[in-house]
Amino acid sequence: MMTRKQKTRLKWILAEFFAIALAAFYIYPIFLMVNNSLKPFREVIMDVIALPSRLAVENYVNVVERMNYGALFMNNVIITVVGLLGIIVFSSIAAYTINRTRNRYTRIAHFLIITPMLIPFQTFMITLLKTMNVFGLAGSLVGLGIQYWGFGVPMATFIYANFIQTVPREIDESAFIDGASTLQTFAHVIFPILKPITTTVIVLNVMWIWNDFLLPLLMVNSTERTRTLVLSAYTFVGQFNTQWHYAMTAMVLAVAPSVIFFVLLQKHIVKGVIAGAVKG
Amino acid sequence: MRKTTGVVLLIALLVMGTMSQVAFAAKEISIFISMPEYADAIRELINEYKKVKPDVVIHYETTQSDYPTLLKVKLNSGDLPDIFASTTGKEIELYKEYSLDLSDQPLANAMEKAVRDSMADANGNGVYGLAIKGNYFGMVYNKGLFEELGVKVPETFAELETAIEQFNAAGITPFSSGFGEWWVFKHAFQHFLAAATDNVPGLVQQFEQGQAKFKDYPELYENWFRFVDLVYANGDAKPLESTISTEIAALALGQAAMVVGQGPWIEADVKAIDPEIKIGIAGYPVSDNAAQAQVIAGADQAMRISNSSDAEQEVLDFINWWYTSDYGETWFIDVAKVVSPIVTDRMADFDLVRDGAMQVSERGSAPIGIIYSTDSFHMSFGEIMQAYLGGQLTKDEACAQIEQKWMEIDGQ
Repeated sequence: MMTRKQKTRLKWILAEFFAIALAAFYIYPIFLMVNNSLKPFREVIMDVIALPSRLAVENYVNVVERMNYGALFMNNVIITVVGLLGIIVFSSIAAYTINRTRNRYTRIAHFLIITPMLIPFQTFMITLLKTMNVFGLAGSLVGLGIQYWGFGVPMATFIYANFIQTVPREIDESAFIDGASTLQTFAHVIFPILKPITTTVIVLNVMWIWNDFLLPLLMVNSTERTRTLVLSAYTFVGQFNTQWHYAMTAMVLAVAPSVIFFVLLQKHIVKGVIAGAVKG
Repeated sequence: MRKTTGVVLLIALLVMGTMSQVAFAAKEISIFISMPEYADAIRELINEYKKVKPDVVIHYETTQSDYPTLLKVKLNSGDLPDIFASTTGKEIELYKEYSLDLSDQPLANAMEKAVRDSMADANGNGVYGLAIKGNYFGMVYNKGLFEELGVKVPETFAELETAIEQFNAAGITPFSSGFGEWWVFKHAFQHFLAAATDNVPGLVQQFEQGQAKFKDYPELYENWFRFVDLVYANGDAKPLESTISTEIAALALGQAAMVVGQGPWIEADVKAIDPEIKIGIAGYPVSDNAAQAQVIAGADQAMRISNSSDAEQEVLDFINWWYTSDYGETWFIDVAKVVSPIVTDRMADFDLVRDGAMQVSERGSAPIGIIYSTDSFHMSFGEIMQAYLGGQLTKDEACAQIEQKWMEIDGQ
């Protein structure tokens, strides 16, 4: 007979086994990507699954040079940083106002901010490009970053709003009593409290903006100067043939920074999501 | 407070910065085409043109994924590039109202006839584009293996069956099929279309209008299906998972004697695996008439010139230079290494290009048929053929579905 303790232990082992199997299942395609980025073309084509017979580091050297990696990396940084700044500033202030000032107008505003999450991108692609051409935001890195404000704010506001609900109003009031204005209260008292949720917003948006394909393809693919890493990786995919060894290497190089970023910040994101979810 | 003001100021600055980036240079040409495999070559071409016309700035943009979608988005938002791409044939008509007729340009005379023909509109008039490459379509085979085993390159079904037997007996897989790729089917099928009629565009049109039936054309109803059945039965272990990469590997490693649906574009990759291999290209056996086994020559992709360009003269100068200058000729052959779309005595140093040219001069070329249907139709066509081979559809069901899709997708 198993004791109760042993039974619990067995359950845990089973659960862990299942979790590991699931993780392996999800990680496998990424493993294939890295694996094939380290093989010469010949080996990629002959057997996708096999491990490299020797590490083809020259793939990385070639791709870094052909992609002009350094310059494109900076392009990605500019787009992502501009996008993030706007998303965080606008959505945190919006969420604060919506939560603290409750009247008909803020309810309508809340509704209008959140619903765009439901509209598929493809439906307004044409009008977006047309509008951005008029404003001169198409074909520019900063312009693309600004466009992400519109795409990122709904989700971020939603997350912030849920969290701010859990911040007691007494904190605001004590700041007011000390003579702080609304903006001062927000900037010096509330915003610091939002730190875990801000980290979450940063991580979620970096993962998405850094690796986005369709919007950059539409807006900044037209010159070498403005292209992003992911776009550049796609130039190895041709009409019939694909240079798989280079495409995989380019993908690893394009995605790696965002993955590293995610790994570094992931303990915050978990905290943040839980904070918002449970208390909200 | 100060922090917030700072952020707001920063944003305002950024916005102004973007606005001021919108500069208008006098002579700019924008190119937006598919086929990124020629990106390096085109950049070289552009750099060379800078020496000829230093004041012209060329913006070159390329993508393969989502190209048709993006082109439509650009077109609809009034952002049509000066040079854009489409397939030839049917799509020539589709974008005709946006593109210039180049008949009176010097480049039209420099163009190979087969290429020029595929740039004409539905009535056979005009030159509504230029090609980045000519092409050959046919059955690519391992010449070394054929010679070693003394197998004759098959030109009829009887010879095909003999060849299959000989290879099977020698323990070599006769075919690698590529049946996992939708476009492999269209490339092979056009040879059977050409065998079925002398007027391929006419027959395609009849199919689109629902007036033609597979049953009335034994080359399609019997021979085409017989061919894919033979390849399926004598091909890869998992034919429906076979892709261009499978075909390249099987051919280069001497595991398969013939590959379906390919052309000169695989040579560089095959040679990357085995630099010593000898390969050739031949027409498919499509009937019992050996004369019908012909390679197909032509251009399947067109670069179109916008008729609403602000820099029309600059664009025309550029493409005329591309097609008629000495550098242009060298570019096609030595830089892009393609089947030359312009008339020239020189030839890219590739087995399949040389062999294709020889085949065409000796046996003639069958008409290129893929260009008369859209790729939307061809994708459906490929999926139906895969369903047939996978056993989900009978031959009659497959034919009925193809006839149906031809009407639905290309019929308007």
